[in-house]
Amino acid sequence: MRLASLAIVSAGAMALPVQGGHMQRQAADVRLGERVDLRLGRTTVDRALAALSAQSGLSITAAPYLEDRVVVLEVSGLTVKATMDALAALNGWVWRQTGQRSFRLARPALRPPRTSSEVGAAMRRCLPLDLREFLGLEPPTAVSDGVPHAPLQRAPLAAMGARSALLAAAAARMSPGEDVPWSKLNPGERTLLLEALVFSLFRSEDVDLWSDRPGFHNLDIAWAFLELAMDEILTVSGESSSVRFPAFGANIYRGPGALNR
Amino acid sequence: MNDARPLPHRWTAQLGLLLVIAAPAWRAARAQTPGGSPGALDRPVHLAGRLSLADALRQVGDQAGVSAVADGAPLRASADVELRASARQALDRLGEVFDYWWSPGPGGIVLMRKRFHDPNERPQMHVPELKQWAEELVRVLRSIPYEADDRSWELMLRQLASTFTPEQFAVLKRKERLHASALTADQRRLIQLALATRAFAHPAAAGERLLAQMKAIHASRMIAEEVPTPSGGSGVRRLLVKHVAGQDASAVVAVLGEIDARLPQGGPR
Repeated sequence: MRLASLAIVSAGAMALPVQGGHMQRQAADVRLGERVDLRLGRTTVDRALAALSAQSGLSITAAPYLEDRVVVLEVSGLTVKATMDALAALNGWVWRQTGQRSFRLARPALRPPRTSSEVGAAMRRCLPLDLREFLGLEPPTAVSDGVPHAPLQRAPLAAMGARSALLAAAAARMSPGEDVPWSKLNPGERTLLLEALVFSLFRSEDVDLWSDRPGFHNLDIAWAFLELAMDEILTVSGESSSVRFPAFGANIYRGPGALNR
Repeated sequence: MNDARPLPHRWTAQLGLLLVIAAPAWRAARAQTPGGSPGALDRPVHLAGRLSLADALRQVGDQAGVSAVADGAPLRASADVELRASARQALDRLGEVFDYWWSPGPGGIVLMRKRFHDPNERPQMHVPELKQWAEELVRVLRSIPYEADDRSWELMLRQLASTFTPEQFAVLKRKERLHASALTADQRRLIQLALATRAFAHPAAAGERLLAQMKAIHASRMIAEEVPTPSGGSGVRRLLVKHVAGQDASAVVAVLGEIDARLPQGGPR
């Protein structure tokens, strides 16, 4: 098995060039082809990779921000490389070779958008795959009993549910003048707080942007037009041969900077 | 071409060459076999008893040679499972029971991900990862020009209106569309800025806010403020609970909601 193949364990993976050391590379190649048994059950990415390192003799780690991710791992008789590939494929992560015998699991490199119309897709790529699936932003699994989840529909409910559950759990400890610091929250309460904060990010008003439907972010100026609604509201909208974009507007005769009639 | 070797030797050499060429492909095909070994998913398995997802996958592995990796841990810690079927059918059943879907992954290993059919299932939440993707989100949104004030697009439209020629105004007052092609380059730039501000200013502010919250989460706190209630008294007081991340003026405050708290004995403080 060639080491070079590890560079393509996932789309977008980029291995650092290995300087010389042909023999060492061959040794790493051999180790990647060795078969491993990882019957770890529920574990973290960090612990899974520590076990994989121990069995393979390679240094296989995760970027610190991925170490706490929970996985269930039941692998028997697979190669080191196949196991690494599977862990990366599970969440759309990539492997980077950081030395002759060392590899690091990480999120794919950020690809900044070049135009406004690319921002929605770039924003989605920032989110972990499970969050995208939960939010209905991933087509393949956004189906529940045949009915697709409307994108972002779950976010406000999840935020509200997390806030309610957190308040119910912490109510007895809340009193004016007595703060409850993060360190005094139990793991369940911390998760609820994180959910309350994270899910608040996703407003229904931004659904076009997050799901890349026709919206203000991808309205090409060539398709844009202005209209005057009710004789005083200047609206911006757009229409192509196949798509009608939403409109937004402002009263041009009222408010700061308004025109005199 | 003068080949002095006897034919059988040449055939042997060609066969050897064929094997050298075909072996990696065969190994790859074998490695890609769903489940990790040929026919593994069609092998029979017997699952019985109260099992966690990990227990069940271990038994499928033991009995059929199927390796698997699942993301996260199911909300349902364990379930009663009684099943005699192929490994493939067992995985389908486990997916139903634990709210996962599965697919063959690299090397034939089974990949399992949450389906989120259960409305109470949630994605994983880990502070370092949240901080990482919030940072990336902010970087994405900073790469596009727009005004940070998410209501400034209103001012831009009024500013745009102030640049209209009498002819442009006449088109609008006739209830007709004024297409971008009929605008000056400066007017089009103003529309583009208004569009970008309308689209990105609020998500960007929300992303910055989340990033600030995650950076300060370990030093953050929940606070309660008493709010007046119409009824007053009655042994209960209403508290507005907030989350405060950061210090003083730069702190990011999120309202979490209101709760009713019993007054301590001895009355209000």
